[in-house]
Amino acid sequence: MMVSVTNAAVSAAPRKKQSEFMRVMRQMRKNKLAMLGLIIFIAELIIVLLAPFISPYDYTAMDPIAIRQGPSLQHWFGTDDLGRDIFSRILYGGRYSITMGLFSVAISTTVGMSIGAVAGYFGGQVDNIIMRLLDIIQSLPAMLLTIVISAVLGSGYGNTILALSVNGLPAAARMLRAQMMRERDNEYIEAAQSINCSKFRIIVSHLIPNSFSPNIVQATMGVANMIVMAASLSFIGLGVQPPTPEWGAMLSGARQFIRQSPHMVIFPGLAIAITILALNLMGDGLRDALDPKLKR
Amino acid sequence: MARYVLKRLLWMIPIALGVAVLVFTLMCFCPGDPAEIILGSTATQENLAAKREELGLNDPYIIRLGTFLSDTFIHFDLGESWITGASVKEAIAERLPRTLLLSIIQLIISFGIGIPLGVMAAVNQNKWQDNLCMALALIGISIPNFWLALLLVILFSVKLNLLPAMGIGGIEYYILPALAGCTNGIAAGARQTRSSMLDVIRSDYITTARAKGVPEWQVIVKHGLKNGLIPIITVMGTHFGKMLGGTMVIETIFAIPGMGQYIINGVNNRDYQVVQVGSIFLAIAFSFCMLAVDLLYAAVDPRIRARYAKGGKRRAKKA
Amino acid sequence: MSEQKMETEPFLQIEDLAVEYYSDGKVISAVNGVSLRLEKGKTLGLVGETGAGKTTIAKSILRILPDVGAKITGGEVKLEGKDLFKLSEVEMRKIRGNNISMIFQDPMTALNPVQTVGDQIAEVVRLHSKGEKHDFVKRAEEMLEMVGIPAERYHEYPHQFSGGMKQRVVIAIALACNPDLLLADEPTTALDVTIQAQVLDLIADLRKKYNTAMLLITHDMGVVAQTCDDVAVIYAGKIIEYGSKEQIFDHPAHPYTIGLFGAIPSMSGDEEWLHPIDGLPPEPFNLPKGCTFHPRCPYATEACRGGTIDMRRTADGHQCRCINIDTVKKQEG
Repeated sequence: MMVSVTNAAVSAAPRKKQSEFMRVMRQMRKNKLAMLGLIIFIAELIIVLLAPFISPYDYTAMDPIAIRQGPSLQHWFGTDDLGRDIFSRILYGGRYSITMGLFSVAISTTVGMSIGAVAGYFGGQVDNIIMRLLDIIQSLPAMLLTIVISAVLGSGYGNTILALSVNGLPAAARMLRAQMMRERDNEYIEAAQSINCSKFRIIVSHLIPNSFSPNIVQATMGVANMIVMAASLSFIGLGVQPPTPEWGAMLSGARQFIRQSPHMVIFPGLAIAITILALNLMGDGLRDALDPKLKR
Repeated sequence: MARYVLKRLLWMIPIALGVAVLVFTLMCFCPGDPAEIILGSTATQENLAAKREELGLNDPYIIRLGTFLSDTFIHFDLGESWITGASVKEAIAERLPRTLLLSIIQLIISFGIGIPLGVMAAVNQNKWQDNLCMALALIGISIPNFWLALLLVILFSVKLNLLPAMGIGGIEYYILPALAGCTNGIAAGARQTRSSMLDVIRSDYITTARAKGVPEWQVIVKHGLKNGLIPIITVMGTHFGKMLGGTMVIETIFAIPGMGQYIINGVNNRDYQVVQVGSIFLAIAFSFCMLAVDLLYAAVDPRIRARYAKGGKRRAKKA
Repeated sequence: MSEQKMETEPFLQIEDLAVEYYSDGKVISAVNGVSLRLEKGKTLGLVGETGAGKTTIAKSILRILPDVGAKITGGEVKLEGKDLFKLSEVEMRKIRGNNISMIFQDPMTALNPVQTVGDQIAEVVRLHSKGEKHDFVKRAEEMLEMVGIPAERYHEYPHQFSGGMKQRVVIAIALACNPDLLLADEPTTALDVTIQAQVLDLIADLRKKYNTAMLLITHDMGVVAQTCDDVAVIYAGKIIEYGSKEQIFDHPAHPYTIGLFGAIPSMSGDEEWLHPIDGLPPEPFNLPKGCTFHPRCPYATEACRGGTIDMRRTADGHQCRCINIDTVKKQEG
């Protein structure tokens, strides 16, 4: 007599895999803050790309008469110690700061995920060795590692990107590997094994596609982090050097005038903060969209 | 449990060795001739050659590595700074506590403020308290702390003339650095606390507690927060690494003679000994903090305690 | 309590309870005007499909619905004449776990994973009685023994227990303060069939001892047959049939109830097929007009599709929310 009433859950019908991307996009579009972040970021990208057309002055042009002037109609954000227009320099500086963040995350995510996939694929000793190496890298605070590597590679745009990428590797590798391990226990993998799917095929067409969404969120958040790291690096004299108008480098140069000309410190930092804010808004939205469980 | 701690302490030895090899090797690829940096560009060829010989730069890599490792790990001889000749051991003994102190103060402030904020946000989900907290948190994680440090200097030292802008001394010298370094942490703590509390509040055992007649604040703190702590501790751990790094930069702003300033100067001056030994010590300090985090997990969650007791090292829950 | 007083003032009386949930801007009417009554020491079975609103009713009685997204929009719940909805939160807390307690569906998640089982029992005792810590601990140990768990396991954590053992702990928590009313929300659904009977027996024994009334929520007709005095069948947040166990089992009147029995294999009959009810339960935010069951009902007529359908008494005296009772009765024989 122990028979249950039809247990028809109210849950929606299972959706197809292809629509997953569309679903995430739909969720994103509903999230006003995430869209705001996206709009700010895209606007910034456009402005920065069009810097030569927008900026009122040449970013290298010095004006010996207008040195360390506060914000005015001629110089919206004032001028620096050499009489250069800060607004123009911030526009050009964004090219360095933002792309350094994007490229270093792109490199560290691709390379890191490959490392993670190799560890997850081979397992056993290979996995063990890779993980122990990552342990060692991660036992150094990220900033310290970046400082040492950028000392080795030397300063400059490309070298700084490389130095930044290294410290993002372990996290990306671990994330993919952990997610693969978790996915591996799922029944659909067993189902694939039971129909004699090859190990390689299981990994490439089942495990990785189902495992990398946390990496995407991590990467989005990572860009923000990398931009800050890049700026800090330039700020302490490594990374990109003046006279390049990178935001951190601009702050570094402005530091000695902090008493007399605080505007030199405020505007480049504001540029960083707004970029980070936009990226964080996007990252939050993406995370919520990818993980409906967290949604209210 | 003791076995687990012992195991973790032993594991720090290979980590320290690994870090030593890693940093030593990296420094070997550093461009620039240390001898020339030490002696200046006016030094003669003979002097430079003699200096190189003295520093052992002419030996092959593997010999130099071996010497460094045996000096450091067997003889516990941390050597002298190549530039100033001062004992590295003494410098670290003096500087490491400052850096750790500053980082730990930041950590305590971060979570002392971040966790209550996050709880408040979660309990009042979607109400104004929540929105306000999360807006503040969003701003908090978006402000680079070295920039905030500069802003604080402008406000409190330059404009208001309330607090010293640099150096060390009494407690007042630590206020601005600590403040500058903790906003990211407060924000991260609040955000993580909110999201893990929102998860936990929906749990059945919270309903059980309510059904038992437990007062609401006890439901939240005793039953909720205690269960929500695990991911918060994780964030705390990862954030501590960031704080150590951030402290390195903040130290240079406030001219605090800590490890960060020491290592950054070392890097700029090609003072290999300082960079290598300094990094090893920071890594060891960091490892200890990570161990503390893992022990905190055990203190909070009996399931993790049980796993440690069994000798399992894996942190991830197996499905 | 005199016979007469029980007539006028039942032990538990629920009148016109209505609960709504809010999600994504949609309003979901989970419970629409449910009225029930329960006498001291008796058992009322609340039967229905998943999502019919059974658990919501139980949680409403205790006022432990989630703060966000759920609201009791009407009705009253009277315990011995006292309207629970009018009590302050502090007064209500004194009732929870003390006068009314609840057993939850899933023992795997109902216990706090970071607190020892003993402390979880002792906590409810501490909240509702005076005394020293050792009194609470002693009572918790007693309760453990009573549900068949050695008192030595006081200091163990939920993860060290099996599902059946956890449910025993949940029962111990629920009964530690000798409640007058026990709300049992599918107490055996998550358990192995072999454990189910043990747990039901345990609940029955303990209830007999303290003369505890019980509202048993289940979708399992077998459990109802075993335990209940009265039965209320709920569909889409409304009671559609209400009567004594014998009335419901021997003469089910509502097509839905009849359908439920049709979905149970008969031991004696030689029918080859079960007769499941066609279709799915209605979406709670989009309930059909008229009788909510009409889209699935084989007897539905035009009259079923509009207006309100009231409870009416059937020939043998139990209540049924169907306007075609007589037709149904004739056809079903």
